[in-house]
Amino acid sequence: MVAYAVRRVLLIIPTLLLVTIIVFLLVRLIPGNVVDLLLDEMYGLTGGSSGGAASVGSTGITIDRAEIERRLGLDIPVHIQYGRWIGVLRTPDARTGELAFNGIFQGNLGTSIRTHLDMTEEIMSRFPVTFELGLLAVLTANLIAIPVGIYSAIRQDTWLDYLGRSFSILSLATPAFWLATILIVYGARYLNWSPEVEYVPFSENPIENLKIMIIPAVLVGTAMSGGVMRFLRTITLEVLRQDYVRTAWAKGLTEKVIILRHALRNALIPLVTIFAPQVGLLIGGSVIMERIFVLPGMGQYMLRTLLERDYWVVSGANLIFAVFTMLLVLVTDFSYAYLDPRIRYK
Amino acid sequence: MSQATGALAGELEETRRGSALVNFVKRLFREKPLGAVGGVIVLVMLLTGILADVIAPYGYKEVHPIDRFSPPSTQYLLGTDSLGRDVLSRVIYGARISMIVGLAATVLSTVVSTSIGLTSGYLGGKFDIVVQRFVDAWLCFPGLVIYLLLMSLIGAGMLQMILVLGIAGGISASRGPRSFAFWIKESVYVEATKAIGASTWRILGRHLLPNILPLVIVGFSIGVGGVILAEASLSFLGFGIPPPFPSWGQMIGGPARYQMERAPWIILWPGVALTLAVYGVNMFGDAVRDLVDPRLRGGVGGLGGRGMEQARKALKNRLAKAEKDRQKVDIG
Repeated sequence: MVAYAVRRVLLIIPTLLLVTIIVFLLVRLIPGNVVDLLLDEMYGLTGGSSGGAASVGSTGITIDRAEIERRLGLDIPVHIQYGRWIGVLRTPDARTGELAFNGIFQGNLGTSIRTHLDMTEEIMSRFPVTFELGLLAVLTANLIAIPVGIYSAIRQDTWLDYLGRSFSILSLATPAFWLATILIVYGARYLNWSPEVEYVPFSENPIENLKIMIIPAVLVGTAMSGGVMRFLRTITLEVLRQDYVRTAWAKGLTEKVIILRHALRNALIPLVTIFAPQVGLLIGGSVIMERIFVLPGMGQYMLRTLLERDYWVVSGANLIFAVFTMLLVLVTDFSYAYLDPRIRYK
Repeated sequence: MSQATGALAGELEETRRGSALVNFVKRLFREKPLGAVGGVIVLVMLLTGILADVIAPYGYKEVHPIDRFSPPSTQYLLGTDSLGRDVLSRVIYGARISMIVGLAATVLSTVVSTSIGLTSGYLGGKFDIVVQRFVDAWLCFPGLVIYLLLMSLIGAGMLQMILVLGIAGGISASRGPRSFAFWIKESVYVEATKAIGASTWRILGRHLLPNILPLVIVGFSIGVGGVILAEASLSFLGFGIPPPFPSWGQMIGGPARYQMERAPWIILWPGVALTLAVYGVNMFGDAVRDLVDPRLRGGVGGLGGRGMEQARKALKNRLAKAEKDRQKVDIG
């Protein structure tokens, strides 16, 4: 077990490195230079014409594109930018010009190009929102999926199986954004209800917070339950056809005992392996839900900053997500190895 | 008891006649009614997509500005949208888009995932470790976000969508074929083939590939559903198929959301179409898996991969039939 653990942890290091490279490259490759966007906005405000270095309108302020690039640290080659961002190369301080290490290894995720604020705080305030949405959704999904999936397997092809599976797949098929839009519009028209615009964090007022989160969470959770249900059903079906179950039947054990004591235990363990991918899917789903229900979460943040080409923020936020997912995968792999002895001895 | 054995023995001796495809369809309709419904839906969608030019009353770009926002009527069966385009025609053409993107991206994804997964799993060792680092890193990114990033990179459009969904999806899905390769590497006949001296290519192509086919078929039929939804989500957010092409997701997104009170039919019908399509594809895929997956074979006794209910019914029918046959012999 220890050998397995050590091996798994060691393998993370190259993966993490790859993640940083991917995250950095992908974002920088996106067309639409942020400097151009900024310049457009500035000229739009002051009513001048674009150019390299030019005086602008009536304010008499010259905008030097090269200077902007230098300030933002974008005038140097990409691989050096990467090195500085990571923290292996030295960054010149904005004011003094002194060189110092100031990157991820030093705990600095970077500043937003837009707000010039350190984005760690912004991310820290938004992460719990997405996390809570995700947690509630996963809970809903599993609460629905586990009973339906198992029942579908042990009573395969009965009417209740058809009903349960239909409901599950229907909830998977219905696009969450469509359902949410319909809900909001008709909820407003007929029930005089509309989603709260002001978000209340859990620590401030749990009840209010849950009232806000419950609808999007249930929507996403129900949609996800289809996938989990199907997975569980397949696994349980497989388990029921194993030799040891057949032996149990032959021994004369009752169906109840066979299922509870033999089949279920083996069927539920693989469920652990799909927790991590579930969370991954959730974050995607949360982008849309956060937009529709006006929740200040990570998904919304990433989408907005992506549109604004706020390079460091997009890279940083994705990095946080990736690290979080990787930790989750690690935890699930360990628990899976703990629950299933066959894995450890490979 | 002997009757039961007799009935079962009779079934075992029977050889299956007719082509595999015909038998499959027969089994589908007889044993899996839900899957049959799904299959019919899929067929309807395919036909709608292919014959869109013939079926649709209007073109998908055809504007009738005078009749903007008109409710469903005999002239416009599902109403018109903000530009006066017929919603029914757009939904019909949307089937074509979903079908093309769904099928193409899933084929690409299957090819990518199988080639990466099988080779990585079979070759093992250093190659596997290196490739897996990359796949692991890739898997760390949440699905939709990666698609958003990639679509921003490449730009909107159908071909771009197919490439992004196909390749990215393929990488994410490569874990499955990889574990299959691990499992089958240990099997006796692969060992035997190696002992005879077959080249790695031959083993991969001749032995691994055909054996993974049932799993691939299952993964494919369900993957299409996921791709259709992903395309819809991306188009909804504005990162997918650009207007005026009528992607269902795109019809729901954009300005239509704010016109919902005035003209709900604009959003309603694409959503219904999406739901039906994905539901059909999924139910069909589930039925395919139930019938085709080798791990689900060998159900209760010699009655094939059926569940308890079906097995009981089948057994009852067999016994009744055996009883009738016996009576015939007695009388005759």
